[in-house]
Amino acid sequence: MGTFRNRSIAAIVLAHFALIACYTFPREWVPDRFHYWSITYARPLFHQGWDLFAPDPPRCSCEIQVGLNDRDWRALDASQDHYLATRMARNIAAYLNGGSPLPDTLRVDPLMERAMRGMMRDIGREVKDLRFRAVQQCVTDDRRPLDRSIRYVPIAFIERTGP
Amino acid sequence: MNSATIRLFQRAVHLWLLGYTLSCLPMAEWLWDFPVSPPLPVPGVMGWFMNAFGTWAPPDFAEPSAGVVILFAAYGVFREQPRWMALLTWMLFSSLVQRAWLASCGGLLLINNALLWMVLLRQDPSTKTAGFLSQLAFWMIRAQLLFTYLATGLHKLTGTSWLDGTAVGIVSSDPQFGPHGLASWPALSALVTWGLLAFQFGFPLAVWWRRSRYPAMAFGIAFHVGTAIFIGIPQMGLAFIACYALWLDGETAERLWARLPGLTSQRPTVIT
Repeated sequence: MGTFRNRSIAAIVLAHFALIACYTFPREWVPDRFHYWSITYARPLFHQGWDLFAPDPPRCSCEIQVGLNDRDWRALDASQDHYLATRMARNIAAYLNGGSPLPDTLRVDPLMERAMRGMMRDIGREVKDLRFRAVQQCVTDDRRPLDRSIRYVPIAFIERTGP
Repeated sequence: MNSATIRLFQRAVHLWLLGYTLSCLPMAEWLWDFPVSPPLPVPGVMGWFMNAFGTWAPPDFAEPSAGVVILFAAYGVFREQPRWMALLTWMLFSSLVQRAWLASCGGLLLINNALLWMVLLRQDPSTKTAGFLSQLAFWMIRAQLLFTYLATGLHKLTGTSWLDGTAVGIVSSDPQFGPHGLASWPALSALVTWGLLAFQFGFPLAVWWRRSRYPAMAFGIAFHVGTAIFIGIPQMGLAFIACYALWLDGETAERLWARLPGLTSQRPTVIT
């Protein structure tokens, strides 16, 4: 009885993690069919992702800033000295693909526009003419990571087309 | 499966939950009341459980729910939660995480998974079925921790900078992270890069033997404290450290349990 019980548990654990592996392992390693099965299984209950700083750490440091007037800019999380405000600001930058060199103008979808304006609630989330930009400091040679080039990338919002 | 190990793990996770949720309170407006994070649905019927404030529960209940999570977590620090309480704790916590998904990280997802299995994990299961489910949950959480390290290690093998030793130099020179001085020492940062890679593949093996388990855990604690300080994600590092408790052997867990303040009359027993 004990052996059967242990084998049953081992089988369930193995099956579970086989599906979680199809969900979380590098995409190119997992056949499409298994990947889609794993999404059905894992996404609702067991969602996870383990690719922080992988496959490579971001070559660019990216900070989203808002313009206060013609000259002064401040970071999205500057009004809140809290680690979760910093976390949200960094995740917004990561969502906008700030870890890689950005195009000359960054176009942001309405979803993230809402998040960025939400971070600026002390100024007024409904102020339409707030200006945003991304400040990137990118590594040009992996062997000399302290030498970073700085870029200022203006942000434009994509007009909402649907309701 | 030793009940002292389970009880220590339950206490560690509930302590983490208590600390994390309390730390969220100054940010409640940003996280839950008028969330910065745009709505993100959970597909299927499970959205009802994991995205309560985006489905059936009024959004105004989000902040009071954090209070309920704090109360339930505090209870879990002192005594084993009954199943209904464990289920509600998981449901409310995952719904709060979902509502504030832009503030989330891998540590929260790890705890989310652990809380779900903790509904089944019992210190003293009363029936054979409960014992089976408890043992299943025990191995699911244990394996989840090992799987996490393995998965992140495998992802790193598909890039170049972890293999050529430059990854930690790139991260530490990022103005938002640190320690900045490390990037000035390429040989040292290469050693740290390869050391971390070795740890992520070595930990899932090392924990199976007592002689290697505790040195691996000590290295892991140092690593996660480092990420808490320099990467700015203390909630993630502490979540991993809390989950280490389930890999303590019975003897060590009982010794640690005996040193803890006598907060409860429940005495650990050995389940065979």
